[in-house]
Order: sequence, then C-alpha cells, then structure tokens
Amino acid sequence: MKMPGITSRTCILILGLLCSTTSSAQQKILVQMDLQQTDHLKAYGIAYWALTKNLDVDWLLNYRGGSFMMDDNPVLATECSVRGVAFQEVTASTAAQIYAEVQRDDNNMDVVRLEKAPKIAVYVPPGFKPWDDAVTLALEYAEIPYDKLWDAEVLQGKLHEYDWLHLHHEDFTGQYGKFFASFASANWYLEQQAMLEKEARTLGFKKVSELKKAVARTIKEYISGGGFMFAMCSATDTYDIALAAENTDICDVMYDGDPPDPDAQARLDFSKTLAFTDFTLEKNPLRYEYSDIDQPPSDLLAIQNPETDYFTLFEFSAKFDPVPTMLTQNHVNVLKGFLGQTTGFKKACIKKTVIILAQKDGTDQVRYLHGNYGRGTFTYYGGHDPEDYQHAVGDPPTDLSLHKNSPGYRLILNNILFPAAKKKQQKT
Amino acid sequence: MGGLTDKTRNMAQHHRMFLLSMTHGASHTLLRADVALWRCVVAVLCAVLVVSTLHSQTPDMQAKFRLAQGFEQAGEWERAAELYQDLLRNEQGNFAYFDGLERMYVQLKRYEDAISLVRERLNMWPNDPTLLGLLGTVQYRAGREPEAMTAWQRAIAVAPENQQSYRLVANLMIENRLLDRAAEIYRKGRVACHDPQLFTIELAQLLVASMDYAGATEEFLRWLGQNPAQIAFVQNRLAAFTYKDEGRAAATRIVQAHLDDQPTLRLYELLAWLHMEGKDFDRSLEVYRRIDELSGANGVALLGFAEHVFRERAYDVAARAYREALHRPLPAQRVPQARYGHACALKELQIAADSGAVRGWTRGRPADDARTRLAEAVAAFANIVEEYPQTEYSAKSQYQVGLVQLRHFQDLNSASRTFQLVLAEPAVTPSVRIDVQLRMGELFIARADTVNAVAALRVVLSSPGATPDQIDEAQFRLAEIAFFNGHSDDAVKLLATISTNVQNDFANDALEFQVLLQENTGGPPQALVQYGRAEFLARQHKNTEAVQLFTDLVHTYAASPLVDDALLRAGGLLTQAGLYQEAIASYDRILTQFHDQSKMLDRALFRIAEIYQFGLAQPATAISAYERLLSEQAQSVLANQARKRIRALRGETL
Repeated sequence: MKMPGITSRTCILILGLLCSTTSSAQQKILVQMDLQQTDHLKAYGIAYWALTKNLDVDWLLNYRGGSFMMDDNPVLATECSVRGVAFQEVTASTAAQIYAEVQRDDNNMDVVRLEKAPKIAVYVPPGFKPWDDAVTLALEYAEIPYDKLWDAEVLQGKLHEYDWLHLHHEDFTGQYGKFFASFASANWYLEQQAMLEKEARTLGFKKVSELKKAVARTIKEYISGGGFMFAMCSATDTYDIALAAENTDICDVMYDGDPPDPDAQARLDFSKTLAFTDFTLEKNPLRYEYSDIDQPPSDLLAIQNPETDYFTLFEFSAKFDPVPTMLTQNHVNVLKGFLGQTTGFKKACIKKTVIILAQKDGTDQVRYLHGNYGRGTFTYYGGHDPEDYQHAVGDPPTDLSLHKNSPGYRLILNNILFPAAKKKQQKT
Repeated sequence: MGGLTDKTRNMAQHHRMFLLSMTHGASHTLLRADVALWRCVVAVLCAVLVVSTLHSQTPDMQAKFRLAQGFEQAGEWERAAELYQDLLRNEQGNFAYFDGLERMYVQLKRYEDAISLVRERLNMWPNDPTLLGLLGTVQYRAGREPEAMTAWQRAIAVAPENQQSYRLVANLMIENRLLDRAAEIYRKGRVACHDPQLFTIELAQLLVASMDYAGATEEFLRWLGQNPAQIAFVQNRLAAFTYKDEGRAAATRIVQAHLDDQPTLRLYELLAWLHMEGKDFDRSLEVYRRIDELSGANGVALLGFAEHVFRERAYDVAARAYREALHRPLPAQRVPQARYGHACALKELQIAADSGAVRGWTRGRPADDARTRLAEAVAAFANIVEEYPQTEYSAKSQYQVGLVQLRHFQDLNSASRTFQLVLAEPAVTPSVRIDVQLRMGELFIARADTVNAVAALRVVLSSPGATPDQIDEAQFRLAEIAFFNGHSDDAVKLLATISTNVQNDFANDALEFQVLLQENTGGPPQALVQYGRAEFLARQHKNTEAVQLFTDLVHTYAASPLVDDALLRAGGLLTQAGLYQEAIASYDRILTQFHDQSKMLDRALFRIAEIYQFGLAQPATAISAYERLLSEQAQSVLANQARKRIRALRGETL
C-alpha cells in the first residue's frame, strides 16, 4: 500500500540513509592474528588497551590464528598504527559473515567476549629488572600494566586485589635457585641470600624455606578463591615441591643452616600439590635440579639440539573447551623449544586431572599445562625465555622488537587475556 | 691405648671450627683471603691428627673408623653413626670419634642426642670454648635459640678478654646465618678487649653481606683511619656496593658525616671518588677544591680532576675545573696543559650546545654567528700559541683554531694559513701532522681544488705513523673526490675497503655512499655526474647553486633513479638553511611527482615530519605527518622511529 505524501524516490532516499547509518555504526576492526599480523605481541596489548577503554573485544578462537574483533573507532585505528599492529577495517556485512563462520557448528571456532581488563600482579623480589623474566618482558613490550608484589604483600593478603598472578622464576623450595655450586661466592648470590634471610626474619620465619612455604600456601588459597596463576620455569616445579614438603625439611645446610630431613622423600604429601605427583626429590644440594619432574634434566641440556627441539600445541574444541583453546591460540602449532632451569615436565609426574596443552612429540616431555583448583586455575609453562634457547646468568636481555611474532611469547599473552573472559569459561 | 694429649685435643678442637666452616659449606665471604691459608694449615693438622689418632688405635678400630668414614661419605649416616658410637664407647677421649658421631647426629637431625653428646664431653672439658660453641650451634639447629645464645655466651666467658673467643662465636653465628648477632659479638669484643680497632675488616665485610652499607662504611673508615695509605683498598671494598644507588648514598652520607666531624685529606678523596662513581661531577668539583687546598697541590689536583671529567664529556664541569686550576699557582710546566684543556672544554661546550637535542637534526648556523659563539674558545687557543710558542701545546692549539676556522667559521683562507703554521711548528706530533693533512684535504675540496686535495690525502696514505682511522678517512675523501670528478667506478673501488671494516667511523658513510653509486649506475651516466657536481658545490657551501643543480637534474633526467636522491638532498640543504617551506616542497615532490618510481617515500615523509617537529615547532602537524608515514609506509625501517616520535610528542613515556 502506498503511503500518502511519500513518493518512491523519498522511500529510496530514506532507505539509503538508514543503510549508511547502520553500516557505519557496525563497521568493525579485525586484528588478524595469522601470519599477516605484523606484531602479534603488541596486538594483545591493543586488545588489553581496548578493554581499558571499555570497548568490547571479541576473541575469535581459531579464526585466523585467534583474531580480535572490535567496533571500528578512529582512535583505535590510530592506536593500532602507532603501535605497529596490523588490522583491517571490515564492513558490517563482512563482520556478520565472519561471526557466522566462527559460530557454525561444523567449525572448530568460537567467539569469546572479553569484558574486563584483568588486574595483573607479578610476584618478584625487590630490585628486580623487567628484562630478567619472560613474562614481564612480554607485559612491558605489549604495554600491559602490572603491579609488583613480594612476600610481605602476599602474606598481607593483597593477592585478592588481582585477577592474575605471575610467579617470577622463584625458587619456592628456599634453595636460592640451587645456584650454590656455581655461584656461591658471587656477589649477586650472597646479596640475594642475605636479602631473603632478612625478609624471612622480618616476617617472623626462621628460615627462608619456611617463608616460601607460607607464601606458596597463600597463593594456593588465592587460586582456590578464584585467582588465575601463571608460572614459568623453576617457579612451576618448585611451587609444587614446596606445597608437598609442607611438613618436612628438604634443604641442605648451605641453604638453611641445617641438614635436610633424612626421610624427606617419604614425608612429601602429594595431595597438597596442584599439578605434580609421585616425584622424587634431588637430594644432592650441589646439583642444579630440584626433582625428577624436570625433563630433560638440567645436566643433559648440553646435548639438546636447538635445530631439532620443537613441541606441539594440542588442539581443543573451541565450543566445548574454550579455556584450553584460548590458552593455545597461535598462528603456528609447532613451536621452537627453549630451555630453562625447568624445561619440561615428566608426564608420569603430572596429575591425571591436569590438562596437557603442549608436548614434545615422541617424548614424555610436557611443555605447557593447565588445571583447576577450587574456583581458580593455574597454568605452568616450562622453559625460561621462548626466544633465547639457553639463557645463562648474566646474558643480555631479549629484545622483543626483534621477535614481534613469537609464537612462544603468544602463549604467555594468551594467559593474560584469558581472565578477561571469566564468565564464558564457567560454561565448561 | 694412647690418647691424645690435652694440647693436641685443644688444637684439634680449635681447628675443627674451621673444618666445620668448610664441611658445612659456609657461603659467606668473610676472611676469604685467610681461608686458603687456613685450609692448608687445617689439611696439615688434620693429617697429623688422623695419623696420631690412627697410631693410637688398634687395627680393628682403625678399620672400623675407616668404615664409618666410608658410610658417611656414601650418605649412610645411620650406619656411620652406629660405628662412631661404638668407637667412642671404647675410647671416650678420642676427638675424631666424638666429632664423627656429633656430625652424624646433626646430619640425622638427632639434635637431642647431639646435645647430650656434647654435654658429656663438656663434663670432661667444661671450659673448652670450642665445645661450648658447638653446643650453641647444635642447640640453635634444634630450634632452641635462647639456649644457643647462652652456650655461646659461656664460650666467650671462658676468656672474655681474648679476641679469639669473639671470633669463634661470631664465626659460628655466621655459619648459622645470624649475621646481625655476629656483628653484635664483634662489637662487644671490641669493648671487652679494649681495642676499638678490633675486627674492623671482619665486621665491615659482614655488614656488606648484611646490606648494612652505612655500617660497613663506618668500619672501612675506621680501618682507613689506622691505615691512611690504603685508600685504594677501601675504595675497592666500597665498590662492592657503591655501584648501587642506595649503597652509594649510604656511603656518601657516612663519609660526609665523618668529614663534618674531622676533615682529612683521605676522607675528601674518598668523598670525591664517591661522587664520581655517581657521575655527580659538580659535587666532585666542590670536593676537589678542598683536596687541592689541603694537599697543597696548587691546582694540580684540580687539573687532574678536570682531565678526568673532560674524558667523561662533562665539559661544563671540566671548563670550570680548568679555570679554577689556572687561578691557583700551578707549576709552570702544567699551565699550558691547563690552558689547552680549558680552551678545548670551551670549544666542546659550545659545539654540544649547537648540536641540538636530536641526533641527526642540525640546522646550519651562519658563520658570523659561529664567530661570536666560539670567540672565547678561539681566543683561548690563540693566547696559548702566543705565550707558549714552539711547544706541543702551541701546535695542538693552532690545530684547534684551524679546525674551528674550517668547520665553523668556514673561513678557508684563515684555516689554510693556520694549518701551515701547525706544520711549521717544530713540536708538532706526527699524529697531529697527519690530522692536518686530512683537514687540508677537506679544505682543498671546499675550495674546489681537487688536485691539491688528492696530494694532501696521499700524504696521509703514505705516512707510516697514520692510524687505521686516519687512513680510512683519507680513502673516503679520495672516493668523494673521484665521484666529484665523475669517476664513480674509482670511487666504488676506494669505498670497498672502508665499508668492510665495520669498526671504523666511516663505515656507515662509506656504505651509504657505495649504495648511492651502485644503485644509480644503471641510469643515465650524466645524471650521476651532475649529482656529483651538485654535491661538490654543497661541499663548497655553495648551497644555492647546489640546490639549483639538484633541481635541474630532476628536470633533465626525470626518469633517472637519482631524482629522489636529488630532491632529498636539496631538501636537506634547504632545511640546513632554515628554508623550511621550500624544503617541504622539495620532499613533497617526491611524494607527488615521483610517487610511483621512488623508493624514498618514507624518508621524505619522515623529513617533512621532522621539519614540523623541530624546525617549525608544530607538534600536531608533526604527529599527523608521522602518522601518515605509518599508514602509507607501514613497512618502512623508519616506522619504529616514527612511532617513538609520536609517543614522545604525545607526552607518553615508554
């Protein structure tokens, strides 16, 4: 029926206006995360930055390497340019097509809405330099802010102010990284020991190992209450060892002033750990190893060949297992290996309830795992620095501007964004 | 069976303390220097001990003892303990058995058994300080801190005025990581032994380990007071923590406090050194004034300081220090050195002020302006020449004047005369002579006299004393001359040797020049010849003619790959002259007229942005220009630099 007073020409005009208004409001920015991305690491920073500006960010799991979709906005586009992050402006219809593709039942993809920029804390000692640790390097490069906490703050209960906690390459067993054999008289080692002993006494602990156990237990409570914990390198196995050794002394005299409990191994309580079980402690205080969790053992690192050292990310169902899918988003699924004081985890020592996210093919060496505890989660990632195959004390820091597309570093940054998707993960 | 004599037993017990230090793996650094010596002594004594012990034993017991040691080494402590127990039961006075059993009890954390064992032995030797010390250690490890302290106090009480008592207990406390308590013991020992200088170094090192830097400094100063000649030793020890801000601040505070109380030369030297460690040269200068006065150095100390900070490129402080040295009655032979240093500092100060805050962005200043700014420095050099003729300083000063005339005043005639005077100076050093030849080469190029330029540069190449850097510079200049004369191939050959040696100063320039030549040999050869001529004009500071020639090249050889180089170069010359709009127009031509063929779009965009940022001081326009580079030339090597500039202009700190 023709409306009185309105010509067809007017109708066309009105429709045209409506369309143009609609399409410009729904135009999107797609930050692709496949091989066309110029700076993957800063792309995470863009996503984080967008969240801090209360912009919605959609994480398109398994779509072009785990891309991000946001409403188009000149400020956002400029920020991408300034940070060197490649992006595409897509029309509303293209965006709709992308969403439809991602949400199709027969595609192993899904959309996760990121709602809130997580508040991040890093557990590091005073005097810590950001370039000492891969996670803080990644955070600094991606321009994601974080706070630093140490033992006093943890024991005072400050962890609950944060969504996500990273454990610096800490030795929770109180053995000062087991550097005694090589660096016992080095200034940095002596200062570190003196500082930790002073800290322990100030906080009312006779030994550093007792202090660290208390801190480990407090962190465990934080996870149980809904916190997200991420640990790399020696912070992974030493954390669990400290939990298991709650009622025994595993430190030798050069670490805590008295010999270890002769029955320490028998007194380990594996029910208290998060990820590891049935491991055997390394009793030699001069050996650069904590237990048999670490694979390969630190003594055998010299025979590792960087040219053939790779590990594979497992694939998960984006629709039914969004959490491990988020944690394994990458533009490649075979990654270069890298060593650390704790390089990988012996599969036989991993609890059955833990999800294995990556493993070195043909071996029992797990490189990346994730699990739940209480209302929170933990993720362990073996190795020290994804872009420094064998990092030694005193080596220069990694320059991430030379590794903008590092798949290894992407795994770290996946963990940082994942708490922003809190609501989504409860579905599983 | 013979037992050990009391004397041997006591010796063994005292030296067991050091054995404990070794076997319990003490990770402290105290007495490091003594440890090696003591280890030798202990090894010898242990050998004597074991031999005497073994000689007093039956073969059966010897075998049992060896077996116990074997179990111990294998980590089978229970079995070792049983054997030691058995041995001790048969020979209660035997120290080695007692020691072994005590070790095993501690290893097994059977602290009660260990305490009983030590107490039994104390019943036999109640006033043995080593045993009392051992009792304290075992009690501490058993978690009985008050009892441990009591035992240690008893150990001291055996001989309260013997410094060894305090050393013994302090060492035991250090083994047990009671660093603060150990420091208290040392301090008490001082009082009890009526010797305030006792344990200075031990305490100092202990306080360093405890990160009590103020306390450590106090002790080192105490020691310095007794050993004033050992300032280097004290500096060396302080350096263990003065590299840290908080360490240096603590040390400075303490030294200053001591100075306020009793100023001495050594303390001033230490304070000056601390300020230098922190690169606080102004404060160092203040201190050096006092050092100079107190030491009666008549300016020599200030002169040494001036030379030091000059090398650190703190030219302002250097200039002041030289000036102050000159106001003092310096020894006559030092005066020209001070005057020369002062003149150099003035020159460097002015040059640093002129170069601007941004590397690579220089706007050429008019020569008249330079005369005014560098007048003081030139006058200073000229005075040296006049007052100290036929000396090394006269020659060097002449050279500096010539350099300023050449590079800043652009007064070629005066520079030429000055350099001739340098060459005529009898005291001129070979290195300066070669530098003069290089500058003459530069000068002749600026005069368009390539023949004499080549001659001067060839002198450098044939000089046996020429350094590799001087030779490279000569080669580079010869390559330039070849290019100016239209012989690009010869230029490329000359550049090849320089560009492969990445250590030298000219490597980058040589590479850039080489790339320019090699990339453009495919186009019309006359274009390259004209470019060379234009560049030659620029070298003669005939910038207007140079720009004209570059512009003509663009017009005449529009298809040549050189056009964007020419426009870029013209833009650079116009920028130097402060003709910013004209420079922008030149760069803009690359972006518009030669957009499709040019590979220098990013450089053009970057330079436009720089003009807006540094020349025209229009930050918003500069940001837009940098952003344009990012959007149009995202892959450019200049993109990162552009991003940094944007962030800086926005006031963001990274």
